[in-house]
Amino acid sequence: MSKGRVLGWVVFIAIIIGLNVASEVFGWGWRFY
Amino acid sequence: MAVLLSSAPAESRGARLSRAEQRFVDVLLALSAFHWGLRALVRPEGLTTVSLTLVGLDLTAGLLFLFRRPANQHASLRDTLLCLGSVVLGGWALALAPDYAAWPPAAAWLFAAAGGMAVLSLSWLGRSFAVLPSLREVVVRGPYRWVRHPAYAAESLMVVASVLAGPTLPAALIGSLAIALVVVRIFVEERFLGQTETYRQYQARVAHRLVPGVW
Repeated sequence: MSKGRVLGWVVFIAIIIGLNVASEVFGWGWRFY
Repeated sequence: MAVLLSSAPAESRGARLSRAEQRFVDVLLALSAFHWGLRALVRPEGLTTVSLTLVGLDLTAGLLFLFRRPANQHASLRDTLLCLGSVVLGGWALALAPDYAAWPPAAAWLFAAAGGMAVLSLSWLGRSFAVLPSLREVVVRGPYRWVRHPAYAAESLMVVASVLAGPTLPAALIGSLAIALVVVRIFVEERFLGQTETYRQYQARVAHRLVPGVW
């Protein structure tokens, strides 16, 4: 797997974790699809 | 919102993710949507019309992430980012609204009615559901007979309700920008989907994008 692809996965998983943590801290959610 | 391509080949065509990787992404997104929905159930102000609407929307999206088809093709990173703008700004408009228990009844019921329309529209998309532009089987039934983007129409009304619930200048600006970005999202998405004959035929059959008889 290329470095770019690994970086992409790391960024994506960090965003998902961040959004879920934000919903716990701020009561926020993605909300619109 | 993804729609498309009954004639798509079984194998991915230009997709950046393998089927297994797409499945992994979908499971993560589904678990997140379920989390956000459950989180809306335990807000300090208790159950409200607005929070129940969000629970319905999140649970619907979570189920659709789990059961949707893998995409045959995804849009470019640039188009993906352009489409994300309305999603982020829509969420921001809602975040600027007052506590859900303090919403005027008219705004709360508009939000619930629009949320119901969104749930219905996303459910009609079924296994072709997506947040970002991608090629899947075309959906032309249900509300997709009347406009090409009924879920975006419904979610735009949810943004309007959020602004009406707490009509401040920042909320109005963010809400207006969110809806402007829905228009951008539609143009970007249709340029991507319009590369296929199937979608061009659908565009010819269903003339309006967002508002029946208007645009």
